[in-house]
Amino acid sequence: MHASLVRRQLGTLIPPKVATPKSLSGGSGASLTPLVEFYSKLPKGSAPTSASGGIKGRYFEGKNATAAPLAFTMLALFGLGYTIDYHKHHKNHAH
Amino acid sequence: MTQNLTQILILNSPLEQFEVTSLIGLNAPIFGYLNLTLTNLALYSILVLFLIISLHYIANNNSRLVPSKWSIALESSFASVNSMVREQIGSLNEMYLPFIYSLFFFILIANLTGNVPYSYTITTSIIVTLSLSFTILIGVTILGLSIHKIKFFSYFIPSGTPLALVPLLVLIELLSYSARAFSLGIRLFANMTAGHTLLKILSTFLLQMFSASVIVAVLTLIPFAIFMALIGLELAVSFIQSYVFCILTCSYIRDAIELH
Repeated sequence: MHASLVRRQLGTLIPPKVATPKSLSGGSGASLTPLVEFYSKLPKGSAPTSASGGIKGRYFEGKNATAAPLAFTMLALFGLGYTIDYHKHHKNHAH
Repeated sequence: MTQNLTQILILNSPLEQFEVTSLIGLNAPIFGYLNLTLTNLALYSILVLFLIISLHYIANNNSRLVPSKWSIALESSFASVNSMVREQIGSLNEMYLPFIYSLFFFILIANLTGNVPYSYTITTSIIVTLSLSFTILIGVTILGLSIHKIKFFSYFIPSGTPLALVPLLVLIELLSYSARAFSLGIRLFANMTAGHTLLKILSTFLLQMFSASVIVAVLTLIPFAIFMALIGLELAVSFIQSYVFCILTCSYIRDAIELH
């Protein structure tokens, strides 16, 4: 059998020599510079905690999230409704 | 005496809470007696709008990836409405999601706001619920007409009808189609009104029993526990009614798109 024919058939089995120990460790390693650059620029350490102030930062964001605003809303609605009811009562039925 | 009695009766009427009353009014002899009035219905509608917008503003998590507990709650309710729209109208018609979502949150927040004592429930006004359902039915009819043109009217003739029965069946189908506009609104109105009336009547009884004597007051704690359970039921009804309203709206939209 012809030699080139044998090589072509085996070519599907034998992978091409792209990465050898010599080409990776030896030489300048210039092909890896963009990769190294990318990783060196990533931020280090734990993620910064957001410290936005205001009502939103105090009651709604991250670990500060509570159901307290719900209770405040209910109390406010109760207060408003009671006020309206109180005045309506006095307007219609003067004592 | 009689006047006193009527006053007491008016004061204690369990239906008094549904009255639309004027809070601030302007009645000026300009533009042919212009009458601008802020009623409690208007005030609470504005409040509901404010609550919905502030909930969505405050729970938006500043577009961060990791959600706060508030945005988890909002996202999961969005996911529920989204899956409802996908199941009912179909994934190809997800363009109706914003409508259903707004409808759901409007009715839900309106119902929940009304559960606070002394506040006013806008969904116990039949004008609110019927306006919603009539608007939906008119919109759905326009949608069906614009998609199917003249073939939309085949909706009123069930397939396989003998020709002799067509006039009768068209009348029946037309009636059932337009009855939807009423049933959708009245369902929400009646459920909310009935619940609030019941709570008002029971709380009037409870107040009188609590203020009778010490022993009766202690014994009244048992019916009071049932009353608390009924408040929980009312909260559940608030959710269920908004869900039912949305799911029926979805099915009406699907009917208009698919014609059976």
